[in-house]
Amino acid sequence: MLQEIIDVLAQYTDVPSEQINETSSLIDDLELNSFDVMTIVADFEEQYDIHIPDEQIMEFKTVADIEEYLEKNR
Amino acid sequence: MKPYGPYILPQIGSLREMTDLRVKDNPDGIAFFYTGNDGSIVTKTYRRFSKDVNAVGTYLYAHNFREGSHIALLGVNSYEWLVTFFAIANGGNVALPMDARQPIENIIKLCANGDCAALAYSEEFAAAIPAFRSNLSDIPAADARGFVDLPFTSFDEWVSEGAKMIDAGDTSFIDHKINVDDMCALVFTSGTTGIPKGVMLSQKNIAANINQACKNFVLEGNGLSPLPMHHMFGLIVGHLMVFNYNKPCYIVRNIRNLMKDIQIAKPECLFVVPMIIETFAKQFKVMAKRTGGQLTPEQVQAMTGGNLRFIICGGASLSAMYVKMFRQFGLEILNGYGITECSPVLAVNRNEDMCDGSVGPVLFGCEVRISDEGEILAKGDNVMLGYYRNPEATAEALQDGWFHTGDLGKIEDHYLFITGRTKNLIITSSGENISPEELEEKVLADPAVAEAIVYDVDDVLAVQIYPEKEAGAPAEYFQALLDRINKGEPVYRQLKKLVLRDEPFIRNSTGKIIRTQIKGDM
Repeated sequence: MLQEIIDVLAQYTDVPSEQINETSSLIDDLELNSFDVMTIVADFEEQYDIHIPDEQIMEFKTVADIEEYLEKNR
Repeated sequence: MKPYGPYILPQIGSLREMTDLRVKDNPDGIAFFYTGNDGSIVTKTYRRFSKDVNAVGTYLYAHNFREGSHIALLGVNSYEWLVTFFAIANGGNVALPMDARQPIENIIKLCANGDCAALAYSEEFAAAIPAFRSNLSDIPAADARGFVDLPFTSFDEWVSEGAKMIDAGDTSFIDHKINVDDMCALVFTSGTTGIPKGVMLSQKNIAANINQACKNFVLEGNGLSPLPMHHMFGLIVGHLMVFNYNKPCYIVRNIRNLMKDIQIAKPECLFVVPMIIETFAKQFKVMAKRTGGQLTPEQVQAMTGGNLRFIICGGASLSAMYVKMFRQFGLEILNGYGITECSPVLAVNRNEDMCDGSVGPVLFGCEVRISDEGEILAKGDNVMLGYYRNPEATAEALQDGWFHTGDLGKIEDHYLFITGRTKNLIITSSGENISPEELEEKVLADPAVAEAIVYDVDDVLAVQIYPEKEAGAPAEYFQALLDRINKGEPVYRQLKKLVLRDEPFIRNSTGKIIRTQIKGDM
């Protein structure tokens, strides 16, 4: 799961996947804006066939936050 | 490029006149369409929209919302939001479009300052209602009549009850004679400096700007804007202008579905802010990586619905890099410039007349001149009535009929260029005026710089730089950059202090860096 998330983020951000880990901050380390995060999450929703509420998306600060949520709710 | 004459469309005097024209010319044409909760496409014709506005307006009249009642609108983009806005504005009442992303305490404060008597809201914000009820004494206008909440979940009920009243002969709303000079919308600005001010707009202001903007740009296909309706660029340009073109307008109910929505809506033009263009650029890169090579215009077209030609961008300045990048894919980004107080557009690049780095020619029917101090001044029917309950701020902003935008600019070869904000102007002890934005542009031109802000510390110019991480340039690199820039500048404009940031600057909801925050950082 973690590797899948990292691979998607690496494609999106130009940051090599080996430089992304659980503690990477979506905004500070990966330089994503709030709309980027929403768009990426929409990708994950499709991939895992789940719905992630808007207020939950606002809570995603790091890669680990996304991983934890997807693990629990997939 | 050479200037050319205006596009010709019938002139409208009010929102009702605009709706009536569409109903007369194309009653069964699609005014709005969107993806419903069950995933099906919902369409609303001009005739349906007009009937719904009249029904909701009649319902509000029956509940004694008349003669200038102020009603706040709090919600995500929806057909219900738009109908309610028209029903409020066409009945002589005042709509207060609210930014729902701010803390509830702020919304209560704005409702109090804006004399709100009621709140219409989408279900996402239902949780905020108890806070309103318990703070009712802070909102005198609502307290006086007893709090009325108008949830959009009851929208169908408002429509059916209103329609029944009309069928029974109640034409009080329909017969209401609109005074186009009365305030119909009160919009609190989310400026990057100072406290929010309530901008009073009339139907004449809004109709004038729709007329003016439709003369500069012509839309020949569907329109789509993911911008929030509480933002006047999103509402008036992104939705009402499309309506006035007699073209279907797609409503993006949740911005996270934008890429899917674009596939459905197949727009010819998008109306966006720079942040969205940045995300598109990243999406293009992802697609290029996934397809293992260089992205072609055909692939970009396939990602964007197949009909996309123009992207009108406003709200903040956009790096010129994106204009060039998108042009390679056959997409023309047309930068524009506006301000809520001007309902909101003043200039935009045109279908066949554009200049990179500029915000385009000034709109037909709107006067713009540059003051001796370099400030952009505007005059025209699109200029606001004034600031709500704030005669001092109104007198400062409106002088001899000219609205002082607070932005610095220049007009060259009929194109308007924005060079900075008067509020950001740095005045040195020797009386020299420096626009920090002009220097920032020079710093930002370096690929190792992601963000930069210039400010003054004890009469010395300083720059804070947030480096582009990928470039990985060392600190000495940035000092050398400043030395190069300083070589071409007079002493008073030289950047003497350098601060490298670990974090990006804080931005407001439209993506602008909040400069007051930087002053705070110091």
